[in-house]
Amino acid sequence: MSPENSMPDLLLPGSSAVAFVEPIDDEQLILNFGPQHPAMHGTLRVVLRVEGEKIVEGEPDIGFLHTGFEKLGEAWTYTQWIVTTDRMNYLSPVANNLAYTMAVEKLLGMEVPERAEWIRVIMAELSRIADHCVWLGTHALDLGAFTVFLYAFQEREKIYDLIEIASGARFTASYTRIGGLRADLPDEFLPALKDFQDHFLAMVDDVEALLNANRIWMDRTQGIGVFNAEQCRLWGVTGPAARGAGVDRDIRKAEPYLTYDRIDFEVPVGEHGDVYDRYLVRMEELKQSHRIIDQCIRNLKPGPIRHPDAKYTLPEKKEVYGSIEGLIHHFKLIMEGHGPFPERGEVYVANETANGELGFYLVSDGSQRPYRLRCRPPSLLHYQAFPQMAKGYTIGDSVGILGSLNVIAGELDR
Amino acid sequence: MGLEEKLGFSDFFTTQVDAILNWARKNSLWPMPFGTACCAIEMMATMAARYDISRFGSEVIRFSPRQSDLLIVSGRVAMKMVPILKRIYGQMPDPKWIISMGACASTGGVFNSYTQIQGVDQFLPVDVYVPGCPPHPEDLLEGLLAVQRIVENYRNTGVHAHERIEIPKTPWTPESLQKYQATLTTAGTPADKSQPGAN
Amino acid sequence: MEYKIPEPVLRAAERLKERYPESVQEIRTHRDEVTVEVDATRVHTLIQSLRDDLELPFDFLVDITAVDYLDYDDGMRYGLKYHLLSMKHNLRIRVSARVDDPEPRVRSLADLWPGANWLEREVYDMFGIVFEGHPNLKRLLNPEYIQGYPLRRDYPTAGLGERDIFDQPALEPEEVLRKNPVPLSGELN
Repeated sequence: MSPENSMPDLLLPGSSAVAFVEPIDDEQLILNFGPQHPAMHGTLRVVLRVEGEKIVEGEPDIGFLHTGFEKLGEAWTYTQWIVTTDRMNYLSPVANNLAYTMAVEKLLGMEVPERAEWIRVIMAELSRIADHCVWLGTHALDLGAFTVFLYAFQEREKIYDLIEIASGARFTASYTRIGGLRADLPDEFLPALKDFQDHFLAMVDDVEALLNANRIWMDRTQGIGVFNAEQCRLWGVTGPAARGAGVDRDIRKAEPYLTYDRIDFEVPVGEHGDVYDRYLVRMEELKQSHRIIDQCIRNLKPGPIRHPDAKYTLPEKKEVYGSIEGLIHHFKLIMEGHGPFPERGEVYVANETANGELGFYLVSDGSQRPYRLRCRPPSLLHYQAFPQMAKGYTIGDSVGILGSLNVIAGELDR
Repeated sequence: MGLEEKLGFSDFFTTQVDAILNWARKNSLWPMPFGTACCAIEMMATMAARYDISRFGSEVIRFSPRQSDLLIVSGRVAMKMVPILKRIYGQMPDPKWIISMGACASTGGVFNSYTQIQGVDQFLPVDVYVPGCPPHPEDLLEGLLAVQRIVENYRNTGVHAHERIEIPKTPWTPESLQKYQATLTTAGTPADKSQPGAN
Repeated sequence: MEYKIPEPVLRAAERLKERYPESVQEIRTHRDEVTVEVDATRVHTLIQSLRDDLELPFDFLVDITAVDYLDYDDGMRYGLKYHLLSMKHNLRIRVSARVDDPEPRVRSLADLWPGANWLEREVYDMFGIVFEGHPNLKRLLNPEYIQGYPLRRDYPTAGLGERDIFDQPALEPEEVLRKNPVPLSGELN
């Protein structure tokens, strides 16, 4: 139900939530939410101070999945760390692979062939669709709609089949490599992709018919968790959560990378900044991703899929088995050093993933391992802003708000 | 514990009753999904429509440890999560079984880092390990079938699960960590020999 | 590959240097990014000035992180990196400030952007850099009781041994099998 004051005050900078406070009077209760809870997506924990059902204040506690990826980045080589990126935002892993490999390629100053760029865009958009499918399924499940979960996961299974055809693994694919891709698309991929494209929009239409004008859904999501554009700027919120609030910014349009400047698509922007608008923004993004993939399929031409400079990337297998230079380069890369040796410097590369701006900051000291590898996850800033969004709403509403933010613990804790 | 004790059979060797009760138990194992990371997504895919886990009887996935008898630890377990995992395991009523799903829960997986527990079997009595990163849903179903084979031969003697097998106790309290501070070692720079790729 | 350095960002950096000549130490460019190296004691003032710049306000804080330069060069040990973005013009800039052992401190940006709260807590957790004026400076990702600061270069990747402390040794697999003789696979009933 909507609170008495329809919109929380703009939070004064500096007055962040205090940790684990004592109840101020007899009417308040400290409620621990997580880290093992069905509505908590993964290992998230928030300690809420509630008055009746209304949330007064909240303090999140994170780190239950902290794996030390950034530390491992200093011990592993650039190519070995691609495996880790799969495990960060594990709903859209190829998009993470892509963001990281683009950062290393900028560090090296390397360009990838055009066919690889188009395939990367296909994979990025498929990952976005997959991420939104899980978001849709779990968000609807939290608010009570179980059918949507099954529909969305069925679509995700089809995307798993596609990614399995391309790379061999269902979702932790590690498909991109520095300088291009792991391998070219097999022949079965494009027909299967076209088949997926033909049937995908039917699922989106089904879900919209189930939810968009549904009385229960609208009551539970409209006017809930309102966060306006100025608050999004102050708290660092990007992606669909910010676009639902009216912030018209998408990195694919604002700072285009890969071939997004040659693709015709729209960026949906909401206006109220509530959970319903974020839901609508993501549903529209599903349709726009579908449109992007159509254009990529039309623009896909045969060509190489790896950077030709064999000092950095493994040569194609027919070169390895067919020419002596290919064999020597392959041998040297595997035996002496694994992959690239960038020059000293630092770069920051940001991609627009399904959740927002995913950035990688790399510092290189000229050796084959990163000197410092930093991942800037969108979920970290979203989860930090979550108690502000949930202030004044009930505990049941907070579940919906958390679902709309799509906080992923793997990315949050790294 | 369980039905045998309630019916007063715990001191007798009851073949037929055991067979029936174990048959009922194994075909209605209710999982408690302790999903942390990527393996949790594969577990969700196992519960979804294509690799339906409910055809094996595991229909009820209610995230309540008090109503479940199969704990599926899926995903990497960080140091901070250990007391929670122990508590969830303790809240489950007997008889209970554990599947350690994925490489990270079984042995620490790819991540040999400062926060990752290198295998939950250091403090939980795991029954079945399902390897993979993440395991295919059909592998998880094979793990479930393996647990069913174990359940079939389960002989209840009225002893609690944690007395049946000795579970090592984890002193995961900040206070108890103090006495081990002296044993903590520094091994050197990040590129130490324990990591792959170190030359 | 050709990288073009955006002129407005360079001009904004030059304007900053004109306003605070003794605090801005260097303006570097690499690929298409501009990095401004500043004095750590004036970081708050300079970033506020970048945020309030009239022509090119960098109003969005993207990231705060740090680098331990122990094995990199011989300057001060820690380098703080602030990534800023101008939402209207879609241009980015990086502000870099160096602080040193034994007590690395810098003023917190939590009063400019509330989103800086957790970013600084994570830097404190991983490096031990203290942010003055931070409302809630404690560890974010690691448990409260661990020793050391993990992302420092002299902290070992596999940790100090805290993750391996268990009171009793785990059972060997043979012992488990001896206590529970069951057919584990392959046999049909």
